[in-house]
Amino acid sequence: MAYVPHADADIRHMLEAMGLDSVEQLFAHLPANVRLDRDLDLPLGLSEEEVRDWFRCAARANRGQGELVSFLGGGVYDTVVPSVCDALVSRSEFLTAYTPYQPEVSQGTLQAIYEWQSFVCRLTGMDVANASMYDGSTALAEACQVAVAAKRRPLVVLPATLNPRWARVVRTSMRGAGIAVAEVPAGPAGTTDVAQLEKVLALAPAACFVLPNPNYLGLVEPVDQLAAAARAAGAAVIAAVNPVSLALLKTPGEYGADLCVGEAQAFGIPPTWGGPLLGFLACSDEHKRRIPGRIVGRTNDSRGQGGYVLTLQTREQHIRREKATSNICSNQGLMMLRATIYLAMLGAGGLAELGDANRARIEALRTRARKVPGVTIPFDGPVFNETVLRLPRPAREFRAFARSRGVLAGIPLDGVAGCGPNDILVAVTEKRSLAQIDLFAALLAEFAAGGGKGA
Amino acid sequence: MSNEVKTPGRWLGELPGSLFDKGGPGRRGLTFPRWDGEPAPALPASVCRAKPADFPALSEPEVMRHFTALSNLNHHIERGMYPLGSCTMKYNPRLNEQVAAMPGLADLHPEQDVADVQGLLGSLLHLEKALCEITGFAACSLMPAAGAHGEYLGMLVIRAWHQARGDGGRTEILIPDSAHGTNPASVAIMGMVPRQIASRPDGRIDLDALKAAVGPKTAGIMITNPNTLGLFENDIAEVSRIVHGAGGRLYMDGANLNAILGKARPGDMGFDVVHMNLHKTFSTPHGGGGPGSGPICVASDLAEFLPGPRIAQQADGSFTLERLPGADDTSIHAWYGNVGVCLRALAYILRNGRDGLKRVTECAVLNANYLKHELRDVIEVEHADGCLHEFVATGRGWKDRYGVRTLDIAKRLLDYGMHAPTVYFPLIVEEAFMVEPTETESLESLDRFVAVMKAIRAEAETDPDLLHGAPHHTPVGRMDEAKAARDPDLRWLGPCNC
Repeated sequence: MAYVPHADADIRHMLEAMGLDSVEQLFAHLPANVRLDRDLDLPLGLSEEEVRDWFRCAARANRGQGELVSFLGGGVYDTVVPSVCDALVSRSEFLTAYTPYQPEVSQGTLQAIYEWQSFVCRLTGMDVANASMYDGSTALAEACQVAVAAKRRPLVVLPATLNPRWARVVRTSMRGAGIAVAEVPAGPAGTTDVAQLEKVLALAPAACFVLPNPNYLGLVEPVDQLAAAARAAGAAVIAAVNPVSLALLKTPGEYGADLCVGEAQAFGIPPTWGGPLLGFLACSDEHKRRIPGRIVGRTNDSRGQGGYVLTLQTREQHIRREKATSNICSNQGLMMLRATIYLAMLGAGGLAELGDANRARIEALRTRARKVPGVTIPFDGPVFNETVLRLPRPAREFRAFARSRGVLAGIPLDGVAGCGPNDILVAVTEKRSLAQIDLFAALLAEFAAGGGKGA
Repeated sequence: MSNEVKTPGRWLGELPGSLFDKGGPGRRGLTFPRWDGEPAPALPASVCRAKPADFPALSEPEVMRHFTALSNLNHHIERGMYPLGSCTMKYNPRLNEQVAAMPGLADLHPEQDVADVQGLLGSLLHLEKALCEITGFAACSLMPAAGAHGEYLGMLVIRAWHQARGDGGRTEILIPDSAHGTNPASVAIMGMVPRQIASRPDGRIDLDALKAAVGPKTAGIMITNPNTLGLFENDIAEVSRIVHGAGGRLYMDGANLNAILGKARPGDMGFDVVHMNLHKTFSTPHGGGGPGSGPICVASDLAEFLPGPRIAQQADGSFTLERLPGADDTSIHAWYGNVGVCLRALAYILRNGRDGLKRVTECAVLNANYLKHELRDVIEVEHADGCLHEFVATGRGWKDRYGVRTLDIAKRLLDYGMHAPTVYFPLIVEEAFMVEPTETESLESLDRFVAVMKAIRAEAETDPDLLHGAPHHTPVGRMDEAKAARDPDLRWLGPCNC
């Protein structure tokens, strides 16, 4: 039988030791009216090879980013995964360990978390980071809860330029907790207009303003002005960043964010249809006892050596139960480890190159797109790795056309932040070659000239 | 195999030092594909960071050595027993890892057309149906990324159902005092009120206390079954009658589902919602804290409140993603949850089948009962009747006789190469020592645990200070947790060699 060590003789031996005749006796005390009196309606167990084949069949019925050329983004990116990430997270010592509640035999996991926290703080310019959240969207929802608790104001302000999937998660979370949500419409530049934000903040005292940078349209927001406006209204600033962009862009620490969240899938994590991902959450020092999730601290042991422990645990559910700052328990530990290894591999030099690589590719794509008659770039502010293209015909048609040529063209934006049916969000990563970008431009030209009509 | 227990030897390793203190200027691990195009124009300085992030600079071999050295400091399931009660630390099959990493699965982007993910959707729907059959329910959402996340979604669903009936004044969720901490926390973050129900002396829910607690404010009850003492709630049918009679719904925390696979189903017990921990019952790895996956299954009248989109199969056999009217504005994850974890769990379910899953439960329960029986003269067991997959002992007697606490026993076990059981939980047992061996442990492994416990008791009798100071043979000793909380050092502050 798969994975269970006992032979029938072992079972008999154990039953005899207990003075029993059958395993069934161990279940005899379950009330008869709730016992399942039949077998589960599932197939019999398969051999390892049969299961592998089952999944081979399933995988063959899909077409992933390894097969198609991907310009999809929107929070999940087709990025390089170093082989050392795969190798190290496959080690039993990391893979099959539990949460490090016994620090004496968990220093490996604990130190890796501390190193992740250190990387996040250095990247974002924040003071404190936690061990991970489920994904960027839940990290943001939790950060909003922190702000509401800190400011004691039951209102959260979101911009229309926030990833709509994240906004939905935040709204669900706030609705559950009885917290109101207000939205600031996008300005003509595709970013949040400072005057519009001030208007919304003047209506009612807000706990926080969520500041995505770059925003969902790929654009760099006027972060200093927006953060200042939020602060002037007494609202906390929650930066929601693409961490890769912080290779180049101003850090949330520099514009005085109270909290910073994001999605770190791009750091060595395969996309797997959107999960498991890696949310991160960081804050300024004043909020460190309010944030959710596990935090590792460095301390000393009884032998006088330095070492690591889970700390500030009085925030957490296993200690404080209903008074905890969050219900989170399991997090994205192994994904965090991947990202930590990725950042160690990247190093100072790699980070700078990664930023430049994204910039070079997105600008090359934009330059080529601008030359296609009928295609425009509706917003010309600075971008990092994503851009909106306005097509002469519906974005969905272009997507279908490009897919027929082996290219995943982007995400249709209809209804998002003032965008229309012809707008598409296109992303690049360090993996895209010049030839692939030229191919994208050629498809764009063909489409603009009427290609893919009626497809 | 002999049951003789060797006195543990000293740990001879060396602590690896900080990553941020390693490497040197100009070193590089990762490089990127060459770019043949033009460089980008520089971004305006006003949007750029003032100085580059201070990262260390390491070569690939240095990175491998550092993290391998870290890994060597961890206990893990492939090293030795991990009898953490309520955590179900079972063997994590490598087959699961292999299938989830396959091209065509791991490289799928969540914004791809459904036509490109037909095999994946079929797999996930297969898993949903299997989980519904295992739990006795009608519909499933794979979106929750962890058990607590499933609890949160379950509470959202139950509340949405009440609200849809115009019964939104129901804000109380009843929770037995033996519950996991996530239960009351999940209720509280919903703006609902957890109300604690006492347990009877036999460790089950007190029906009189329950009858006194239900009323017009009752939205539901959250029950772990078997509960955190490893005991089946024998009166569950009566609990269901009382709570449903008062207008509430029954939520089951499925953390202990490993005890009842193929034996009993929450849906048949009167529950309306259950969450499962795929990283417990269905063998996906804990990964040092995650990722988990906490799908919920619900009764048919609650299905419409699950978040969209839902996977459906068309008449032609193809799969679609359908959004239900009404639930469209509800979501708890940017995409569809921890899909890669779901695939691993599916591999486990396919590999085991109906026969294997039943065997899993039988052997998990057999192991727990055998261990409880063999330890009967070593440590006192609370609620000695009919435990299922785990049991709770108490170190009370050791404390009285030897002045040794449960924590000391736990720490000494680490010296013998075993992970400690769950200690000081559930809260209703003094000096709790909660053991869940799972079906993974062989007879020899269980016997060794017993022998080690006997050796530790002999040490407690003759040299209690040995236990007070334990562990002695681990990479680090007991940590100064008070200092860590008082004077938080939460990140590396020094410069890097870059």
